[in-house]
Amino acid sequence: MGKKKQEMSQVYANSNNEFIFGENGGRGKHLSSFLKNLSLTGSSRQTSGSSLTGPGAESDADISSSIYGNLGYSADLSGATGGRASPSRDRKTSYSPTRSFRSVSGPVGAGYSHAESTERAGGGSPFSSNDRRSASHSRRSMKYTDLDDDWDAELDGLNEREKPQKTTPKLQSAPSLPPMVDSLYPDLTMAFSPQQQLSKESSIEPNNTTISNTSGVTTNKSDNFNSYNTSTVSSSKHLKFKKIMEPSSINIQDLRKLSWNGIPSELRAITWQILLGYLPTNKSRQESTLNRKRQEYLDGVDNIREIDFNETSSGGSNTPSTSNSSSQQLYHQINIDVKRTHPKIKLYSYAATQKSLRRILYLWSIRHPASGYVQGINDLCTPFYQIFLGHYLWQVQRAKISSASDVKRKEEEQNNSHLLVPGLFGDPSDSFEKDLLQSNDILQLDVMSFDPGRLSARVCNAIEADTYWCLSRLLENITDNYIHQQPGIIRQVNELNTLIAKIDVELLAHFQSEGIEFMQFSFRWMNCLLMRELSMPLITRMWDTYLSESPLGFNDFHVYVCAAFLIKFSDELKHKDFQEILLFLQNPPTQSWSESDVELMLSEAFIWQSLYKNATAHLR
Amino acid sequence: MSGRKKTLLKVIILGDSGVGKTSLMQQFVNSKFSHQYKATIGADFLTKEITVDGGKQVTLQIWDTAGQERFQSLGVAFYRGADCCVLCYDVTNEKSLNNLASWKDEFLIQSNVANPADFPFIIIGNKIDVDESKKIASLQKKLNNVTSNQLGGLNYPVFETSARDAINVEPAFEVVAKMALQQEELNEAGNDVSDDYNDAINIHLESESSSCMC
Repeated sequence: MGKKKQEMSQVYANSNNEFIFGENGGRGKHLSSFLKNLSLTGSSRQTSGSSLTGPGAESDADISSSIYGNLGYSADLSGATGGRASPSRDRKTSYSPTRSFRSVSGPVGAGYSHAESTERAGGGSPFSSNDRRSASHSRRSMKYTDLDDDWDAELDGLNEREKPQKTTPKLQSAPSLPPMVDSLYPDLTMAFSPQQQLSKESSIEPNNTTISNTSGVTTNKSDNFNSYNTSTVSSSKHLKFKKIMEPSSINIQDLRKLSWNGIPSELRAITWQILLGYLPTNKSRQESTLNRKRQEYLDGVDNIREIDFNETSSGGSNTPSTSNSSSQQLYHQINIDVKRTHPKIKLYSYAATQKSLRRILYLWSIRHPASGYVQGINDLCTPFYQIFLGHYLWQVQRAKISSASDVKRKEEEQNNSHLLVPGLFGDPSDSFEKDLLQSNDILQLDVMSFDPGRLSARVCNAIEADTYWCLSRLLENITDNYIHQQPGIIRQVNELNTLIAKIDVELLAHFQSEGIEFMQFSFRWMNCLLMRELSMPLITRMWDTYLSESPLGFNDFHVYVCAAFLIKFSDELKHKDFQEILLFLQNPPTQSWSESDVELMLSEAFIWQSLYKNATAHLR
Repeated sequence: MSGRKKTLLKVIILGDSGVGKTSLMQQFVNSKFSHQYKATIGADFLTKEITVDGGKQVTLQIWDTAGQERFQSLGVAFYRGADCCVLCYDVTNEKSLNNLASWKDEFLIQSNVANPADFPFIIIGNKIDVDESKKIASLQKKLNNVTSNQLGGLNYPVFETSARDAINVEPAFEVVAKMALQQEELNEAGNDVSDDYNDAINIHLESESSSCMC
């Protein structure tokens, strides 16, 4: 009996470790950098204060709360489950120098993992709509014991998820609703409706031609923003995000849960940065952290002496001396790939965009020599670049609109400035920004066709740096996809195969009889995270969920998404032969897909993950 | 003869990143050229039905592979059962020419073909439409050097093409099809023979006559 107990505790400890390193591994790093920050900002007292034992618990909690925002979530949980006394934690407290850092992540990790496992089993996370959040603390511990309940919970979740979509049109009250739903300033959206626009313009500048021009393009713009800001985004969702973002330190767990179902487009940049652990959840530290990281990036780029990032002649640099140097080869590869990144989106055809991408990719590659640049990583940095650039543009547009509006609104903007990525907009000495603000087309600009050459170096650098760091964080979790022999991708392809064997035996049998290998079609799905298969707006929506599932969203969860993706076409594929299957999967018909298709796919993936992920655990 | 089932020929396109493999394939299969191709990841699959001399209908199944070295490790999934391999270089990029031999070696290792020495390769130098000044200096000499020293002195057919201007693409792939067909028939004959008599000499003779024709 005693022996068994020991075994059990080992199992427990192992699984706990797995969570610490798996679920919180990334954040462990953030923690360390946080500790570093602390010492940089002079409040290192806390770090040393956390030197443990009894009262250590409080300072741990302090630290973690200042990092993750108030971890009320896990704190509650540990309170409820006696987490503080949890054996794993005690064991850890008696350890080693790294302990301070572990013991912090200990309770957090444990709390999270408990909650996580119940939620996984119960399908709570994605569907647990936020209405249920308040009740969820108490429910969580109950769910533990009764798995059947979980199934009910999941169905509830599904139902609840349906509801908001149905009620959305009512909330939005008409097709005539302003194209740009703005959570921060609900009334600001009015400015975008053509009539309002007209009257406003005419009051500012009583010039007839300008007016007609503006209204003409405004209609175009409304299209842009409609596609950008899809109909599923309801204003209630905006309010929920706003509420979570309000406290001086943001509860990351709540933010994750809310993000699973999609992030409002104007909050996407800041939410992604928080979910990735790039932007601190503690508001007071956000600006200083970004300043430091942006400077760090710039220093990194400035230290690259061997490359002239303005050089774009891709042709064979014919002199053997240059073409043989490995840095030139690396640059050559990046250069030719950047030129053919998203060739159909105008944004990526501009010299300024391409130069930014070259710098980001080159710096990342030399900083990560084990993998180096691998084709496809160029695709992966574009959602960040585009979202962050779009966010800046949106800030400028907002400022433009508010400059023409009343004092009250300006005040509101002041109050909402914490919902913006800091350090981008609002430098009075930035003449490019002034020009942009005063340009006639500012309200019509769409990031998909914007030339970043119109931005100051200051803004370009900041967007680049943010992209660089976020890309780094993303790739951290899928490093083995890109190292020698790409073991991560091979594993994922095999997992996909195994998964299809469980979910759709007929399809697998058909593939086998036709001689189709999973590697032949799904390699790219893993290497580019389906970016070649889905349009950019759909990818950004998908990343909302992936990032909320971080750090494993881009890794484990992605395989389930790929399974859902493949099975979507199962019926068609079963009637095709070898050639037809490969040609079909190479160019799957997703052009007409909308966000709801992606959301359905994500939901299916989630269900399969909750069904099969744990089912395979005993085999390992 | 027409009653026989369609002949499938598997062709692999290899070469450094950016030499124009995808453009070549698009030009050959779809008769179009675009500046909008993305970098190939893993490998793309294309098919084209053509008639080779003697009026025989064949279907080419072409794997247009990614050029970056990192992807070489997954060649096994794509190279197996190939009937012909196209080695591509860029006439403006000397390194891509010098890499032909390593592409060939990599292919032979991973495809595990029966008779490596007799396996049909063809060499395509793409982008001849570019300005003369950008091309590799004394290309012919360097090409001869590569084929005779690095590629084992075997007389692989060489074509210089322009995927952009559709120069020489069609003729090159007619030869590809012809060589692949011979290889396919050889394999079948080889299989039959080895099943019945295990007559290695016969195989050798046939392959010799085929290389003379080219």
